[in-house]
Amino acid sequence: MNFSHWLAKLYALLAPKTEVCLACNRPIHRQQGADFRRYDPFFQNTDSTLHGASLTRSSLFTRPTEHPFINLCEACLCQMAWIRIIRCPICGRAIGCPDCTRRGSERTYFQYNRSAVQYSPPMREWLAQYKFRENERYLSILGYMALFAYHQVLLQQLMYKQSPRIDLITYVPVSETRLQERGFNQAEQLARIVAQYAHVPVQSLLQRNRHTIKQSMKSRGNRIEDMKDVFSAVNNANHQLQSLFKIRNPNNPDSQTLRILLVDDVYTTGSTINACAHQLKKSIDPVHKLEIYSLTWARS
Amino acid sequence: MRVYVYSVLWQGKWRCRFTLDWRVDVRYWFSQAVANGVRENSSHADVTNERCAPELWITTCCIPLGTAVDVVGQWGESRLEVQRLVKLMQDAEPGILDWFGRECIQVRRIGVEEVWREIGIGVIEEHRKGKLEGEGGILKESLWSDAVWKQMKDESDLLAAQISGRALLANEVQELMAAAGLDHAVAYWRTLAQLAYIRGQVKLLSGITTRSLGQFSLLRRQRELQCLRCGSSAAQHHRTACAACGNPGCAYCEACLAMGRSRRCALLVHGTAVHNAGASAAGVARAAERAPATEPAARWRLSEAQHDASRAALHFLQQPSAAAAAAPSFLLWAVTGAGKTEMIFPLIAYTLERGQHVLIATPRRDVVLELAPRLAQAFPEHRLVTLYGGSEERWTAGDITLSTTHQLMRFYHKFDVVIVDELDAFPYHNNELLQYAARKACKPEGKFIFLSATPPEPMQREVRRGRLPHAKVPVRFHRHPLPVPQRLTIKPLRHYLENKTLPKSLLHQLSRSVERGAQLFLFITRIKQTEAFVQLLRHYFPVITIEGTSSEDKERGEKVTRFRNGQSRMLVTTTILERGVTIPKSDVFIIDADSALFDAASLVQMAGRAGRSKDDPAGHVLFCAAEWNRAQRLAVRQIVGMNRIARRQGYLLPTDTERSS
Repeated sequence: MNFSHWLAKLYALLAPKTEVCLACNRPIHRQQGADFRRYDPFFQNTDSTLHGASLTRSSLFTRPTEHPFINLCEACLCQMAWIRIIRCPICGRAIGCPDCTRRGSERTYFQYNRSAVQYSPPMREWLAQYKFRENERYLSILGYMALFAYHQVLLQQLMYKQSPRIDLITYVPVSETRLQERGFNQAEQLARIVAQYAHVPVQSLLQRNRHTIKQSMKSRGNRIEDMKDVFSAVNNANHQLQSLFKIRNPNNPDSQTLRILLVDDVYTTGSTINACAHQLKKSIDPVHKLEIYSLTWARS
Repeated sequence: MRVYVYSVLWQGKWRCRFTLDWRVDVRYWFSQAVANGVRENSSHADVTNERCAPELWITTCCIPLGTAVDVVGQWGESRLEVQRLVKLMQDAEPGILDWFGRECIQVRRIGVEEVWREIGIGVIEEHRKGKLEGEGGILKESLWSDAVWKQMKDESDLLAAQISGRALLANEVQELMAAAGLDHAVAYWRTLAQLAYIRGQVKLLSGITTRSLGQFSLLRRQRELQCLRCGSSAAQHHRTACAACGNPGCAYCEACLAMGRSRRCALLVHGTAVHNAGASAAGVARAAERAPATEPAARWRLSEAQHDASRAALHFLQQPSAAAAAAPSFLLWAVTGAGKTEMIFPLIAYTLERGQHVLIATPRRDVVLELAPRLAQAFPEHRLVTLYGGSEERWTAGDITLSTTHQLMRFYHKFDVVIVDELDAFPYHNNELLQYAARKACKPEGKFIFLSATPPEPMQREVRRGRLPHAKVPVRFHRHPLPVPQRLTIKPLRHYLENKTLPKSLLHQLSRSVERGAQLFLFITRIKQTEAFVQLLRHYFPVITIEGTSSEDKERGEKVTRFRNGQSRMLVTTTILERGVTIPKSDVFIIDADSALFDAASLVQMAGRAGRSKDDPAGHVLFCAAEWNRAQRLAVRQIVGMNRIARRQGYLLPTDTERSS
């Protein structure tokens, strides 16, 4: 603790604060006049077709400093591989999709999936940083990006001439062991952020019965086979869903279907989402109708 | 992670502990009673020498690990009781009662008479629900037979020996077990860790812990969080909701996140078992019988200057270390190209003779990779462990450890001698985190040796004040003086790049160097200028190969190799190549030498690229800048000063004039 030590502290206090990019660790230099929010698909897109939808963009951020993208530099913002044009209406892929036709004998229990980004190498790295490196600073960015997929889910409903609506958000569970290790469930965290923006309740409806090895280590055939009986609905799932029906208007036939959004981080073959959707459908009394939509942050 | 806290009455004193697996503790403290129960059906009668505590008080639900560690640390020798427990928990984690139900904090007594029955029905709620973690394999039964208990003790001994000298997070413990032949036991690692903890072979801590702010009584209750692995303070922690402990604001350390997540409720295991004490003492005795301090020069073929410095360092190692607050340190201040690596060989040999652990740490991974084969060659009979991010030898045990400074975070009181090479190189420079890690890796009675050509300013001050023992190696191995930088006044490079011309004075110097057949290092300050400057140089020197590289260049490796092989004659680069690359016949041009990006240390390092070879000892070094600033003055003063010392001590080869006179 000498003089120069304190002098250094004083300099640090007086120096302009340089922000460092969360993803690449380089200092962020913002070009004059260029708003980093132009990389936000909501910011440029004033889409009038969404008027009926529950997403009102104007309420999201009042100040730019609150925007989650402020922590990224221009170079990293450019790397977001947004899926703006959807080729496969089932899985929401941006490229032609053999998987959805290949599922064949196996039934699809969900309506369709929408993802925010393609699972490109930089996106893979971001998710790995968040999920495996456990850098939770990524959450607000990934969660906000997932909101774009939510928007796509509603848009598709509009295209099918339905009133855009999601009644309940739930998420793919992780095993108890994994939850203890990691301290969080990435799907749950993403779901909670989307729910917070979209003003839709979140409920935990599913549980994972056994601890499988990481999905990313398995081949396609293995994945589908492995997914059997991994998930089940929680004990009171039916009860929770029933209570949601009670508060609906019985005269409106449209409201007799409950629309659940199932959230996960990555959609690869759809086996996880499909297994979860299957369990949800099984858990509820047959008098009611469930429509399950899938939202994943990335589509690989 | 959450754990139970208990206190047990043993030999008339209450001892407070926490437990990752309560079955271990019950079995340990009540081993006699339990053993009696186990042996009901067998004919064993040998129950002497077994522990039997009269009673144990334990919390009925588990509490977050970070809080539990603090509570246990402060409890002292009294019986566990609720009121004080609540108070200490609040001290450790202010606001804990907002999310941790006050009514959950209960303690209950387990008397010796109840043990058998309690185990049968399950002492703890969670266990009854079948939620207890770490169950698998042989732990399916809630009670272990004598054979199983003995086997687990052996396994925990093995684990403790492996962890000894390391500081590991829970997942690293599991990786270590898998690598150390305990892969079958990974499922019940908590049980083994608890067994080692209760027998005093490891310390169990939380990754982030609280430390008291001040000595004064008013401040004593004010606590601050600190990461035990990297020493970072609360400013570098981020709080998030944690599913493992239930805390909505459980802090984790962002400073060392790249090495795995250290968290308030994450387990950190410090291995304290000393398993080589016997070997070490025998080693010292054996070494003492031999000739004291083998003469370094003979075995390692050191020059006179190297030999003198090396002997001074050896002398430092031989002194018994006093129990001082800071570990004793020694600075080997050797000029660039002095042959530092050879000088540490005698020190390593000395330490190894004693059966002690030696660590060579350096901030840069490429230095580690370059040093590894040389060390392996010098000490073929000893096992060398090379550690860096992604290294295969992470869990291997060895005699010599060569590591990047980041990897030091995984060690705890392991090494007797720590040699830090290039301590001023990024990122050790001013990096408290890595200094903390280095101190922690060293034993309390261990010693530090720093190697540097350009010690940081605080260290130079210590040297001047005589507080830091040191030895200077003022001369290169070829015994020629260091090239002294010349001054060349030119405008900033930006100016010339705009006009697409170069000044005559610079061109003259460049062509002189080219004509004498030297290879040229051209150091610049900005990565962006690399390409433009290369183009401009190619315009003036169309015949020779000119390349440019920077940290953002993907072909950096190949370009440097081409330069090393002499395939390219000029290399434009930023400070990334200020050390490490040695070219026999080279001249150095530092453009914009007055830039704030170049401090005296990096100027000396860059100047040190010239004149490395015996055949061309007098390379040219030019500081090209508009102004002559403090950093340049200091750099020249350092170089001239070293040459003067070398001359005075007679290390330099006699010059022609001296020879003729």
